[in-house]
Amino acid sequence: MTKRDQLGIFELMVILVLVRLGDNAYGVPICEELEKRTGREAAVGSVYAALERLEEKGFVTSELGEPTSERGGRAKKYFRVTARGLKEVRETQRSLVKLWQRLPELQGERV
Amino acid sequence: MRSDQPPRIAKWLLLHFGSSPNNQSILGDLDERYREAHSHLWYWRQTVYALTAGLWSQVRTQKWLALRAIALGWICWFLMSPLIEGYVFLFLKDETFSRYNPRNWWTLGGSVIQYYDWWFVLIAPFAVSLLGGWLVARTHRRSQRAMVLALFASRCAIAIPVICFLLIGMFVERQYFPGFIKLVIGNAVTLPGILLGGGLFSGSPEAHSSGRRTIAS
Repeated sequence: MTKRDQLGIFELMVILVLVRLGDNAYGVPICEELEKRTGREAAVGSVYAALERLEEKGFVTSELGEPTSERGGRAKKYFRVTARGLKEVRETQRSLVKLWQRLPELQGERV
Repeated sequence: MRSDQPPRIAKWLLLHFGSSPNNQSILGDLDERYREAHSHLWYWRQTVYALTAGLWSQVRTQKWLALRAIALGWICWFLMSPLIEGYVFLFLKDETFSRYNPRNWWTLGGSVIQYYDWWFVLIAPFAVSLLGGWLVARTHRRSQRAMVLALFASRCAIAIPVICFLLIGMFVERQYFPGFIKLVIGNAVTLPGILLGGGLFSGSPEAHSSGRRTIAS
């Protein structure tokens, strides 16, 4: 796997939110879920930039929904994690867990 | 009282200068979230993030294309400026022509700005930047908006430090004042010229959206 295909921290957060949201994953719920889980304001532009990168890597697919009036007649864009994306998330999780193990500085603390 | 409509200028900026391939979805999401009781300030903040993140993402994924666009814009500037300025300067110096023009249009800080200075300060830079923006847009149709904005950003990166330097110098030496004013005016026409030439102000904003296709699952 090339370095370009690896997941960045923010990309990993976005892809985890996509897995959590399932079929209802478009910009607004993605940002709301990110804000709820991280406690920080999510920038819609940054979320889309991450989604574009994920789509380019083949970890995510997208599909346009119907335009709605509350969005000024603009369509929602739904995102879904691909099998390749899920595999990459699992690999990243394994690597992170290995890195986390046997670190006395981080033991005994609950975030 | 909070308005139901998001800030118009911020929305206009994002509509015309947002370079993300998902710009329409971003605008829709921002409208939807704004109506969920977010403030004007929040919308502005999101607009700035969307503009910068969209441009950065496009430049990062198309580094060589962006470098080519910037180089093309600057080469156009260096080649065309002396050409346009030189020929028209000769024309303006012509005595027959000068009879119909006031000799001194404006006196500034003790320095007289000649009528032909306006050509150098306003018209020539505007014409050249218009041409540069147009050329970049025509040669980078796939990412037209992002490439024109990359050229615009490169121009800002050069102009802003020079303006700041002259601004500081102006407080030390008054003689810098006319030069400072000329530089500010010159850039005030050059920067919109690039955007205008690149077609970012005109036409349907949707036409600038990237041609990236969505993948239906």
